[in-house]
Amino acid sequence: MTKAYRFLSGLLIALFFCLPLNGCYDSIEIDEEVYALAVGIDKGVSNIIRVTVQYPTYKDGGGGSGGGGSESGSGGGGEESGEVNGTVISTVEASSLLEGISMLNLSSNRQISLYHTKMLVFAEDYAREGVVRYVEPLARYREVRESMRVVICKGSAEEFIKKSSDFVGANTAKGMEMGFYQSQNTGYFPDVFFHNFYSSLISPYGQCTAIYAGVNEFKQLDSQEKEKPELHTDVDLEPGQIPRKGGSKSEFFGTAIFDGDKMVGYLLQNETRFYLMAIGKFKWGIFTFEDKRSPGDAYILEITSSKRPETKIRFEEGLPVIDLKISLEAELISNQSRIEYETLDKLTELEIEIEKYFHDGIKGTIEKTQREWNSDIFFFGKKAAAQFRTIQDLEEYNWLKHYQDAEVHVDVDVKVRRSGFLYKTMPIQSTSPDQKGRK
Amino acid sequence: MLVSEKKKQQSPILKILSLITYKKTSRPRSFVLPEQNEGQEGGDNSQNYQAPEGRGNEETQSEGKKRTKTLRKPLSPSQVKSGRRDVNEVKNDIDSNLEMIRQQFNVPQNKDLVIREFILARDKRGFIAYLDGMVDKTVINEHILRPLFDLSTSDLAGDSNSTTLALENIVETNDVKKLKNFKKVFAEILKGNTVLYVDGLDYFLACESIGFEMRSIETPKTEGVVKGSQEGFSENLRTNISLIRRIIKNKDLISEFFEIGEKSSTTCAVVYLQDLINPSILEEVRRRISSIKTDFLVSSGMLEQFIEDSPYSIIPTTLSTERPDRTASHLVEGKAAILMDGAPFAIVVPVTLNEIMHSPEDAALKWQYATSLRVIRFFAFAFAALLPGLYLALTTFHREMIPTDLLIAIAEAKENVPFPTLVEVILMELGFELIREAGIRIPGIIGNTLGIIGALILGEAAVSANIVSPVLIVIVAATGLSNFAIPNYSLAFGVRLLRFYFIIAGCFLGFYGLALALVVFVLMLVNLKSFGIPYLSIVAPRNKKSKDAVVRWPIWMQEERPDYLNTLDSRRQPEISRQWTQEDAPEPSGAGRNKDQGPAQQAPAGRNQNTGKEKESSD
Repeated sequence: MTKAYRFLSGLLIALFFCLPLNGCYDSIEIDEEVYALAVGIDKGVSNIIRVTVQYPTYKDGGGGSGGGGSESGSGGGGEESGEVNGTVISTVEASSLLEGISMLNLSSNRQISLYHTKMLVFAEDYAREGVVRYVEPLARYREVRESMRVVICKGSAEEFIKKSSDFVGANTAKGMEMGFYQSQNTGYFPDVFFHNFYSSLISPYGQCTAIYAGVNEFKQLDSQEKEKPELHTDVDLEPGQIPRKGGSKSEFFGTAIFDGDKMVGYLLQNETRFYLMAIGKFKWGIFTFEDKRSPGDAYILEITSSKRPETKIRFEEGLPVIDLKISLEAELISNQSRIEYETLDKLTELEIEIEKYFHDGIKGTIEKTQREWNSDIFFFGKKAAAQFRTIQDLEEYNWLKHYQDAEVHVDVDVKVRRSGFLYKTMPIQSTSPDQKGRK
Repeated sequence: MLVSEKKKQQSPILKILSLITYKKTSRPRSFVLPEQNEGQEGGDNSQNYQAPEGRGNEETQSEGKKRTKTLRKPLSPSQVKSGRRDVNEVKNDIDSNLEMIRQQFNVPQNKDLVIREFILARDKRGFIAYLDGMVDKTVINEHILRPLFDLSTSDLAGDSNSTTLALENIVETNDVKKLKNFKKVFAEILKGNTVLYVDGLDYFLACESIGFEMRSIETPKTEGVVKGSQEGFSENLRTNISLIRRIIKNKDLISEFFEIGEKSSTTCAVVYLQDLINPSILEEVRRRISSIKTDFLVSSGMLEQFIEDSPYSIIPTTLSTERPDRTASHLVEGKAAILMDGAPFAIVVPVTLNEIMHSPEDAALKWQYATSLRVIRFFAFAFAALLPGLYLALTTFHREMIPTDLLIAIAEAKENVPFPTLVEVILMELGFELIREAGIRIPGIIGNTLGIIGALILGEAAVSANIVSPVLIVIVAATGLSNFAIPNYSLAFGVRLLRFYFIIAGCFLGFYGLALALVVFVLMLVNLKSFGIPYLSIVAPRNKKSKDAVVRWPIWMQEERPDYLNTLDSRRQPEISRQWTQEDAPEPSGAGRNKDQGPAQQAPAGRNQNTGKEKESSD
């Protein structure tokens, strides 16, 4: 019995020492690594790729405060060290992305980890040549956070990362997170995660999109005054062209559209909102409309989506027909003309007017993606797949190629449900007889 | 030949197989609770305590082989003494009896024993003997000596039988026993009683005269409650039993007495409700207690260690409480309580983990409050055991799981700390334990204050001296707090040790290691038994659902006693215990004791709405 016990306990001890062989011996102390927050990819000059990595410093002051607002992010704590707003931005030229990052270990003195990367930035001209070479290793490499956002920026990615500092909080990582969260509050850009991006890349149902971004040099504000400014409700702007000053120089504005792994075009901000409505990701946004009954005045609506969009696809004579039904809800939050839109008959008129606007916008956006790029970023292919009996049939048909042949019917249903805190528009009382709202 | 060859070939395989197949071990008999009406073997073991002197010699020798060598030593003097049978019988002449007592109590040296000799009614010699300090002297003076001296010759006339009668009538104490055996005589003296002998008798008369100083009943120290009784046990066994008896006024409440400890001769009592407790459990409790052979027993913690099922388990399998109300509530569930003279604690057996995690206050609170408190307590259990281990695993293996902002903050704070996280954790944990241990030893009010201030100052200083990172202070403090939320002192101790086990697991193998360690821990728990009851009863093995496990349902829903105890009467209250919810509820005067069958028959369900409701919800 003692022999057996000895044997058994020996076996147990041997098994115990097998435990470390099972993996999990890659223990690293938390401060032996630095956590890259942003990774930028540019075209190289002497080698194929130029990688920019932004990571926080571990100096006093918490989560990357450092320079703060006073230095206005203009290079910050010194052009040479690349220190901006409590983070370090360093760039390297290398033959591949991951090699470049590991070369940057030398400049940071610690191991750079991609566990906490918030965004992956591609320069636009690079993206137009194809991104799969740089996306694939990231999808395969285990130390990459798949929930980082994919951004395509106009100009250089390095510049974009340098200029995208957050001035509200002391925390760069949080600033980035909150920045992407504005997609839900405005609808001006889609919120694209890396894992979605990669799965769309290889999907036979549709094409991938990315956040379109740019750097605003604050030169868009006209300095000369006009006598009477005109009302422009549907101004289409590219990223970097918003007439504004102050704050972060980076802007997420619009959607980059891909065909395969190559960027082929982009949607502007309003088209992006229509695109988000069509795929059911539009949460909330403010729209300004010019009042046709009182030119020069505007009414402002807060639009939310009330139901998920319904998509139906059928084939008629071999051609796909797409029926898209979108339900929106609106709240009247401003009425400059002071026409009583709260009354039922006026309300119906108003709804019809808005419905037409959204119908044209959404249909126009879909047709634009068909006509100009033949890129099904709406993933209609996923519904269309139900019409095929086998995968082979679907693959043979090649939905992505036939997307442009599809006939699109859009049905928009808008309900104005609330009128804010005021349930009735009352005339303004004044001595002047031409005061608005007078009957 | 072929067969034998085959046998030879098979034998190594069989050998290996035999290593992993189940075999009965030669460990001492373990106790498994039989279902009701199953066999009742081993009953005669209970005889042990009644006649230990007869079997003593054989037993120690036969056991000596299995047990340690120390037991094989030559017999101790007391055993030799007890071996001589004739010595124990009381003689009928006063001188030899007097000599016996003097000799046994070493009278010239031992100043405690007082022997008072006298002559009764001018011609009969007699004496009383008692231990000074253990007796109430007024009782001896007023109720033993005075009546004896007031005797006249005629009162003591006649043969020995009538003398007894007379003596019993003369002595005015409330309990008088006739003892013919010296062993019992000595025991009575040692308890604080007075023995009386009159020449010519072949027995002693033991008169109750116990009276010594003791602590009065105070509030419980470790099991304080806001709502509920504020009485705690004291050191006196009789008082403690009376405290229980005051709560359960039932003739079936029985207390059996055992003497344990060759030198200390401590009295232990097993208290139970005869019409509830499963006889097998009672038999097992008796068997374990009566078979303890030791020389000294002073605290109930020592007794616990002698009777618990798994001495190597880190988690206690008995429940020790200093509250009479808690003891009573367990007795009414059908359990046994073991009380000990000199220990202000009752040991309740059998218990399950679930019951140990309950607090005495739970039953007094509304069920919603009690449930939320219990949920917090179970969380506290998990936190106290796992938090430092989890922190280590997270920061050294799974950094992707920490929110970025927190991660950067931790890294920043750790920037100037030269130690790896493991060293930090162990330093802080040891520091915390140190403060706690020192806090108990430091006298008076300073102790408590020092505990808090020490922890604050030490933590603060350690952070500013860059010895540990500030997040760790939070972790250690949260762990310490959680540990205090565990309602049982022994269990809290076990969890404190468990924490280090999980720290090691988390530090070397991350979550994988934690998962492994947790599996091992749960296996151990599942394997535990408390007096034959699986320790994780209700969960594993699954029994009938309890209305008083983690969620404590309203008290009127708790109709049955725990299933796993197999009590003689499993019902606590009738299905409808709140009879006022019925329209035709019986008048209070006429209701009497007829609750058990009454209500359900008297008011068929559905006849009124309230009945139906309560039935539904209680199901």
